[in-house]
Amino acid sequence: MRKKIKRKHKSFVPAYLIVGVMIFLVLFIYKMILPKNIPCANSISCKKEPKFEIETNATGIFNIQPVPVPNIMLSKNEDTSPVLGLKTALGEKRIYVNLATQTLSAYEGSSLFMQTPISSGLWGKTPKGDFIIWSKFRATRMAGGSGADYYDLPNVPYVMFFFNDEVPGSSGFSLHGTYWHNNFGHAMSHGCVNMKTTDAGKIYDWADASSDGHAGTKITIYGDLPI
Amino acid sequence: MKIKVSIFILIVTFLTFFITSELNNKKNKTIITSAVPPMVTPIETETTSLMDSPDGAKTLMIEKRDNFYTIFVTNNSNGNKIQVFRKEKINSSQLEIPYNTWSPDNLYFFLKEKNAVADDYLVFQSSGESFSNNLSNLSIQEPFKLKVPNYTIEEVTGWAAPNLLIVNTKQNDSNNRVSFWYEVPSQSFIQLGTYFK
Repeated sequence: MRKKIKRKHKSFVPAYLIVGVMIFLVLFIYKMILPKNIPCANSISCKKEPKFEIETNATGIFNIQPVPVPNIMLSKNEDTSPVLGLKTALGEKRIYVNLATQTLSAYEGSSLFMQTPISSGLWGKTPKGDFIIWSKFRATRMAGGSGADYYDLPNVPYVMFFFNDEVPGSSGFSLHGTYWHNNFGHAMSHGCVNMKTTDAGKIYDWADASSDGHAGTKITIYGDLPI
Repeated sequence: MKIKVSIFILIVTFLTFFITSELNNKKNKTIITSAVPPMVTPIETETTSLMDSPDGAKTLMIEKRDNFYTIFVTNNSNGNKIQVFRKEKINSSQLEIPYNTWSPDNLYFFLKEKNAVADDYLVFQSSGESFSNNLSNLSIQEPFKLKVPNYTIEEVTGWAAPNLLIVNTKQNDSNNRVSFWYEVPSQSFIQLGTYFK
């Protein structure tokens, strides 16, 4: 009789462990299979498909302040379609964004095309990793936040949405020009990479969007904001 | 024939010797000339600093000539250049153009005045006009000391909006860092919950 009780007691412990391990494995696999919940860069405008959009004589809102919106004057020769040809005589185009120093460096092979201060995420995090430019728009509208953090910015110029396996292009993260603040070199965005409009224009003309099986220009975002 | 060849060789040798000696003389002359100390003439020291607005529409220029700073704004669409301000350079103070000098709408710009004691920041209207209180520029350091005595300005980083400058400060008796907005039209400081790193 004693032997039987002992056997029952011994078998109870491994069974408990096995169940625990199985629950852990199920949860682990579930988490791996499910796509990661990446918050959208612009909580309001992200609900719609990104598109080319311009307004005339509009007023934006940022930091609870009305912001005059520059009109977008499209020149006749302006080519809004993606340009192929990732490799040039100098080599592959790459963009690096250093969050620690708040700078963007663009290279063709080993040749530096541009280095400039940027503003990354302050109210929302800028995702880190390797990305590819998904689509380019000469201008679009970005809106999001709520309360004191609410913003609505028409005519955001030279927008280059980027993506990877974890961050879909529709989540709204992009490099773009900025007319509502001038605080580059310091975090100031909701997750996008803000640039001076003139710098964004140069990168926009230089970089390539993904098209017809051709991957767009690669972007690597790395480093941590100083505490 | 042999005599002709000999004469030709002699002429060539003579010419070679003559040209070589002339060249050497010229080199020597150059050295002698350069050894003479240059004539001392009063040269105006001039430095120029430039910064384009983020949209490329305007350019701010500081020209330092002798003991004066002159500030110009150029409208890049028509090339019109106006003098906004002229100031005598005092002792060790230095005027600098910060990277984020231009307000987003290009109506204002700010400059950093490096001083031995504490740096000051000066706000100007790009039109060259004075502010409502007839001041040609607004100093930030002195009014901040008066209005917010518990904090010290560490840096004015740039513009949060067309009228709002970001002023990063440190609490005097601790390491707490706080950002303020300096609202240009009202010339007032607004303490913020967010610190603009």
